[in-house]
Formats: sequence, C-alpha cells, structure tokens
Amino acid sequence: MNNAEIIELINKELDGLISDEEFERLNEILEMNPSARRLRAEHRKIAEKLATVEPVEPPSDLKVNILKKIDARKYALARPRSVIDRFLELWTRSRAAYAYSFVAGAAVGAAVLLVCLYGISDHMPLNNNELVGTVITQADSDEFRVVDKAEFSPAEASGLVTVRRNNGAILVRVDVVSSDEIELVFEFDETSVLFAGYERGDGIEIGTLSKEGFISVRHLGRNAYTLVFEDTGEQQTPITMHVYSDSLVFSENLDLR
Amino acid sequence: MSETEDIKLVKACLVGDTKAFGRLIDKYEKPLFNAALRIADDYDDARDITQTVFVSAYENLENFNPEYKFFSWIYRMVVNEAINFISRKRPQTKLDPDMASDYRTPEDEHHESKMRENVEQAVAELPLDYRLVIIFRHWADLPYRDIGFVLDIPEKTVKSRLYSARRMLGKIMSRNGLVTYE
Repeated sequence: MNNAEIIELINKELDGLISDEEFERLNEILEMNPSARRLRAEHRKIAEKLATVEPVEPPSDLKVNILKKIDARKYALARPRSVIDRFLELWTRSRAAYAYSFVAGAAVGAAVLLVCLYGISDHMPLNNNELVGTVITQADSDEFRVVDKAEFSPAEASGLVTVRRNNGAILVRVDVVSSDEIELVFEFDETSVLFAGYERGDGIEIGTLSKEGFISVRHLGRNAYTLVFEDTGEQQTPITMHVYSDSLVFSENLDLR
Repeated sequence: MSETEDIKLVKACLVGDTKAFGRLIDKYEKPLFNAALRIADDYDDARDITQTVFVSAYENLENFNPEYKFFSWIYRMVVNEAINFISRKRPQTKLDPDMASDYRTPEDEHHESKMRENVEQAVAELPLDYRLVIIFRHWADLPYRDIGFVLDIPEKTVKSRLYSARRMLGKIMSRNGLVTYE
C-alpha cells in the first residue's frame, strides 16, 4: 500500500470508475489506515457539496440569437461588401500583410478607375431608366389582386408588405417605419420572376442596390415604395424578404401565386 | 442522442441544414453555457461566450474531426474562449449571488441556495487550472480522457490535478466553514 495507490482508488471511487476488486482493496486499506479514511471522507464531502450546485438555465433566447447570428453572417458573407468594408478589412490586418495590402490597394485603385470610366453592369444602384419590362399605369391597378401580405414588428422596425399581381406582373408594396437605419433585402429566383422596376416613395431612403436575384433598400424613418417584377411564366418560387438592423431581425417568404 | 447522431447532424449542417445545427444547440447549450458561466463568473458574459462559440463552431464545422466527440470539440472551444475572455477582462468579476438566486431559487430554499453560492464561491477561489478540472469532472461530468482532450494534457495529469484541486477545495471549504472534518 502506498499513497499513490490510495489516492488512485479514492479518486476512482469518487468518479464512479472503481471496479469490484478495487473497491474491496480500498475497503481493506480504509480499515487499516485512519489517514486514508480521513482523506476519503474529505473528498466525499467535497463531492457532495459540489453536487448541490445545480446547472443554471441558459437565457431562453440563446438558441434564437445564435441562429440569427449565423443567418446574418451567412448573409454578410454572401452579400457584396462596400469599398469601405474592404478598406477596413485591409486596415485591420497584421503588419505582415501590408505588402499584400499595398498591392491589393493598387489593384483596387485601378479597378475603381475602370469603374469610373466604364461603369459596372452588376450590383448597381437601382435606376428605373435602365430597367425594361412591364409598363404599369395607374389605370391597371384595379386588375391586381392581393396574393400575400407580411407584417413585421420587431423592436427595430415595423411595416407591412403587400404582394399584388395580375397575369403578367407582380407588385411588392412596402410600407415601413424604423427608428434606426435598416436594410430590407429581397431575394428571388430569376427563372421565376424578373425585376422590372422600382417606384420610389416619399420616405428617407439611404441607398438601393440590385444584382441578379437580389435587391436591397436601406432607409431610416418612414418609407414606402413598390418593387415591380415581371412574371416569366415559369413555376414561381417565393420572394424571400429579410429585414436587417445590426443583425437579421425578420425573415418571410412572400408567396406570388 | 448518440455520438453517431451528432456526426449525422454535423454532416447535415455542412450541406446547409441550419435546423440540424439547431438540434445541436438544443442538446449542448446548457452544459456549454454552464461551463462558460463557471469560468467567466458572469451571466451576460457566459451568454456572449456561448453565442460566439456556437457561431464559430458552425463556421468551422468542416474542421471538426469525427474521431473526437462533437461535445468535447465544442466544449474545448468554449473553455478557450472563456479563458481568453477572462484574461482580457481583468479584474475578474465574481458571480453575483443576487443574480444567481434570481433565476433558480425560491425563497423557501434560501439556506440551500446560500450553500450553493458558497460552494460556487469556493470553486471560484481555485487557481484556473484547478478550477477547470473541478468544473469539467463534477459539473460537466466529462470523463478523464475528454478532460485531457479539452485541456490538451495527458490523462494522468488530469487525475493528479483533480486530486490536488479537491485537496485545495477542501481547504477553502474548511476555512469558509462549508465542511468540517472529524
């Protein structure tokens, strides 16, 4: 019998890992050795005390917040980053990356120059003058029927989105009020519908972006506008709407049928 | 849910099934949150640590080695994140007893509640390395092998450290009047 053996056996017993044989051996030692008895009693008391501590319930919204963050990060990775975002990313990189940053900066500079000279065809601010498709006049409005509505009212914004359509066109009317800057993103399948136009409301609009299957409108305060889509005649999948504040605060599929 | 099912869920996540990750959160949010809470000693910090780790785990699932348990892998991330967190946030704040009693103790359990708080305080007095093995063994019920994986130390060291931690804890508890020995 030695101290290491006693400690090993007491630990094993405490952790529920002791075999019958070892348990018998421990009892033999305990009968003969008062200091081993004391040690075992001490450790058992500690284990009993530790067992009185119950696990704490995590916050009830923990899972929802995690999934929202994941969703927002996925979106952030997917969506185009601004020049400022890219600049900040370079700025925060380690010293070792400065040389690469310089080269990248020169490339970005050249790209900006090219963009200034020739423009870009993708990911442009919305411009109705460049859009073609269904022409809708005020007289047509009665022919549209409401096919879906979505209301949202998280803390950051509240609003109503109404989807109306006729045989050839789909109108997505957005009425929204927000206390902070928010971004509404509409994602759609271009084999199903084509973005045809944008009717600006009288609200405070900070910026708009469009690219394939993606429209983003950022604004603050009260705003109202209509997005116009052309029906391609193929089987229609919903338009997915996301509302972002600092993170994703609302998502909904807008049915088009 | 078995370990194999965890791996199935991880594989589902890797092909974009966020719901599968939701199931992993359901299963492990409580032990991970509690690990973070015991290390960081602050409810809000523990929430932030747990959130950060789950998001990071999702983004790094492709690096998960199925030879290990998913729980051990993510538990290790929580421990590292929590340790980094408290090393950034000095001086360390202790678990607020009022806060602790708010979310789990009815009035008629006041005495028991006080006892639990004292036990938590005693554990919080241990040096970090020793505190961790007590948390892992007694509150997370991790086997020696997994504790070794989480802390990146041999199993033998886990056993000796656990023994020393219990001895230290016994002294602290005795000094604080939590235990008396004949």
